[in-house]
Amino acid sequence: MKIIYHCYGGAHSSITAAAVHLGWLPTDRVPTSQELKNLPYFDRPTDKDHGHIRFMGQDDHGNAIYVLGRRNNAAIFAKMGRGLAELFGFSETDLQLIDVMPYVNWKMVVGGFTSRKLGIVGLGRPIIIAGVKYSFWPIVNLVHRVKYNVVSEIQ
Amino acid sequence: MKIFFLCRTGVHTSLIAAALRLGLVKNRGELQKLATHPVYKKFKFKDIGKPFYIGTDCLKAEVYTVGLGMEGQLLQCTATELLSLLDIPGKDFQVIDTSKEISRWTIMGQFLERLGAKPLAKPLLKQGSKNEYFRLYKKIAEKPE
Repeated sequence: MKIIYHCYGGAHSSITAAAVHLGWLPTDRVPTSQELKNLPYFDRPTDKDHGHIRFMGQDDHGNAIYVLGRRNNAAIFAKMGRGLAELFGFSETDLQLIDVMPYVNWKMVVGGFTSRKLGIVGLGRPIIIAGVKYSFWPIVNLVHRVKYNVVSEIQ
Repeated sequence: MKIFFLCRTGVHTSLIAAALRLGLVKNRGELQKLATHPVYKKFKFKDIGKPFYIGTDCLKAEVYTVGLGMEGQLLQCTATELLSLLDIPGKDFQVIDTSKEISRWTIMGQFLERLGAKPLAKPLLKQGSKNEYFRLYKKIAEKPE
């Protein structure tokens, strides 16, 4: 199965969710700032990276995990992705599109804009990290639900 | 082989392109026929993103239209990458972006249609489709079979 975590820029919430899924972040405590900064692609993609699906890794069950920044096109992307997959004979068990945007808080929006759009990384990144820490448990919860569904479908 | 024509809605510019490919319209005067096409009649703006099957051409290629909203280029890139990561060989699909051929009349017509002012939108869309016809005809003719 291929699982795509998508959000506005593919730089923070989707990266965090993918990292939790792949076991790169602890789920018994909130990660440290350094652990978040060390994640590949965390707070790095820019406008030109939007729309590109990036491979993050493979989970314990062999599922390929991807991230995508699709700006404000969540609904269109979901319909397009499912529609195209269906046309080529793929089902929900082959491709899962997970929107992480509902877990984005105002700190991540402000910090993301400051760091990615304005390029003031020194100011934006600490705000983003505070936002990610704030939304960490809901994101962990989302990933656990995704993993549970994936395992159920495999069985 | 599946051919996807992309535009903002999936039922305006791309539908004309698909109709040209399938030979559903033979000249500019026949564009009116598309207003009665089932895909166009059933279309709702919340359907943007869904692929619409238009028909199968003489080379047995299935022709679809897809609406990608305002950020067509971004989602075109995503669609192509998505098909690649699903291990679909490049020879099995073709993506043709028609959003560059869109007429200003069509843009205004779509805006009014979205607001629910269909009687006002109709003449604008009609004019827009006429303006787009030759540009799309050229684009379709340029594409290799």
